[in-house]
Amino acid sequence: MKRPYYLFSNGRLCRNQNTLCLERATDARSPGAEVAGDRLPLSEIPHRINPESPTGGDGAPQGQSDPAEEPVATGAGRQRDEDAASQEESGAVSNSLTSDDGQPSGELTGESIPFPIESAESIYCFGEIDVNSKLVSFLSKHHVPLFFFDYYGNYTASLYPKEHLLSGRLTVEQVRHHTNQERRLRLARSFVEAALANIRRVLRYYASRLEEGTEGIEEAIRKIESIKKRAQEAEGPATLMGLEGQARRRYYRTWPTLLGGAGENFSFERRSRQPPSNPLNALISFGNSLCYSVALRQLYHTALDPTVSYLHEPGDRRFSLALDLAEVFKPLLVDRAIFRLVKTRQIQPDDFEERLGGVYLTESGRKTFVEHWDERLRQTIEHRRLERKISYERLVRLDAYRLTRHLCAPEDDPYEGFEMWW
Amino acid sequence: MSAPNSAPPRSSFRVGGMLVGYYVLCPRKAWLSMRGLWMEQESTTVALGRQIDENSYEREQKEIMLTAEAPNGTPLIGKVDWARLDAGVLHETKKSPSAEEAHKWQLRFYLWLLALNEVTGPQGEPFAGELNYPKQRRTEDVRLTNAHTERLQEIVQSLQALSRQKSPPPRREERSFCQKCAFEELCYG
Ligand code: SF4
Repeated sequence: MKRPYYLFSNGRLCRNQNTLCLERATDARSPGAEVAGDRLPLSEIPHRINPESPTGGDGAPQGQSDPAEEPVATGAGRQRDEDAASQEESGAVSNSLTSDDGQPSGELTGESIPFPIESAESIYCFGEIDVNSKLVSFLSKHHVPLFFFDYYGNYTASLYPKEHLLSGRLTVEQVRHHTNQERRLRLARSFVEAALANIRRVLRYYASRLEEGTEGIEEAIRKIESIKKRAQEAEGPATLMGLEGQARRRYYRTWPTLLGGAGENFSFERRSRQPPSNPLNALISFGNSLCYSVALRQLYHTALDPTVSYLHEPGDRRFSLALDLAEVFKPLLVDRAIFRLVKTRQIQPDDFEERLGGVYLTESGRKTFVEHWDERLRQTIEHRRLERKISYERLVRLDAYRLTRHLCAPEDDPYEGFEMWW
Repeated sequence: MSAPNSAPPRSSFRVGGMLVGYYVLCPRKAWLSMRGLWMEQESTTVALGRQIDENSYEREQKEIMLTAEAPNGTPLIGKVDWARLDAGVLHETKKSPSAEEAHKWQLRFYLWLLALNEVTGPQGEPFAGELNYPKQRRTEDVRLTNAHTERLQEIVQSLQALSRQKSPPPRREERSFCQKCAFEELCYG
């Protein structure tokens, strides 16, 4: 079973014959201290210690735009920051050791961890990781995408292997549906409608657990429903994007209520992303970029071209179809993850730090998030049509298949975005 | 054995053995596969199939490429698993007999390619086919009759029409059948 690998260490990822090898940089300041926390398949969950966050480096954060909305997706790996050295220094975090029960067989405490490429579905680099061209072609050959995040947890780039399943005729249909106003609108609308339906679902779910404040929530639900109606009449993707944004703003205003007691420390004035202005915004930004990466990974296993999109404008440097799909899944994957983490107090105010006018998750906060995220993706639900259990992550793939069906037969088999049915 | 991975312009349209097998099972499956919308590469059952392919038999002759032209001019192509040329037998190895009908037609298709190339066994007799299911320790003899040849011609004709069809044929009705199909998520997800 292939799985994503989440690497938090600094160091070098390289090819060693037919395996991948993570060569961890040792922490110069405190030799012997382990820079663990890499989440490799089958490994135990790294324990959070060290709530004390490193103090800020003084380099300017790179690419602070909300990655899920404006990801900079390039074919090349991340450039090393000029001030990488100082960041590395200030970012050195000692952490607990991670026990490991299976693959990779390498000791996580070692400096060099080999792991079989066959077990890697994708690789996330949250630390400062060097790659070379030999590795890039190796990953590409095995169809393993690489996602890079900067020191602040901003998504910076992905290394998307060469397309391997593209279908010429399907791409033609994708483009036809994009260039034809009416067809494009039909799809753009479906993405927004599904996104709003899922938002509504999340609101209902948490509202039913509230003891007070339900009136405000009911009102938000009504508002979102009316926006959804207007979306049905919207005349262009730009209007739809605007309506979606409007609905989200209304939705976010309910969060402090929905989060209840645990949310007291999490005020939320407005959505801000450049940079995130408060902890909730930091969580949303981080979660949204993970969601984008999941959509992109799933698209990679289909014949769809991820650059041709409907709701979002196709951009030259981003995979905008992944943004379209991510919109549908954010409520289930991101928003509910945030609620869970905050309500159970797994994420607390000390998991954030202020840096250069923005608020970011600390490294340990990111680990906590990723740990929950990974479990969440593997959570399953009984699928009504397939009559078997399907993981949350697989639901994204199924939506890509629905879109494929739509493109082949828009009248007989129209796309309806995934909507939570539970 | 590979089906063409997209339906190219008619000039490069070719029919392969697996595509014929797909068509017999479900025309929609054949259409999706012609469009390059199949996902078998990923499926573990296919990987397993390949392994069995590679390990189960000492091959006497492996992977023989065959080409021919159907009477209506369609180029045909086949990649035969293995053969015992001196005995005049073509073999096809499969993981499980769950789609036996398709396997039989795939093998008949190869026998047809040999016939079209006027290849015969050592005594001038037509080649025979043998389906092998090593996991079940089972073999199945497959012959090519005149009726089969006619049916194969029809199938090739239908595939050609199908390749020009813009939308896929409908799903098969029986869900139990689709539940075994590698395309299930693409059809029902
Ligand atoms: S799932 Fe059913 S309808 Fe779809 S290709 Fe397979 S057999 Fe045909």
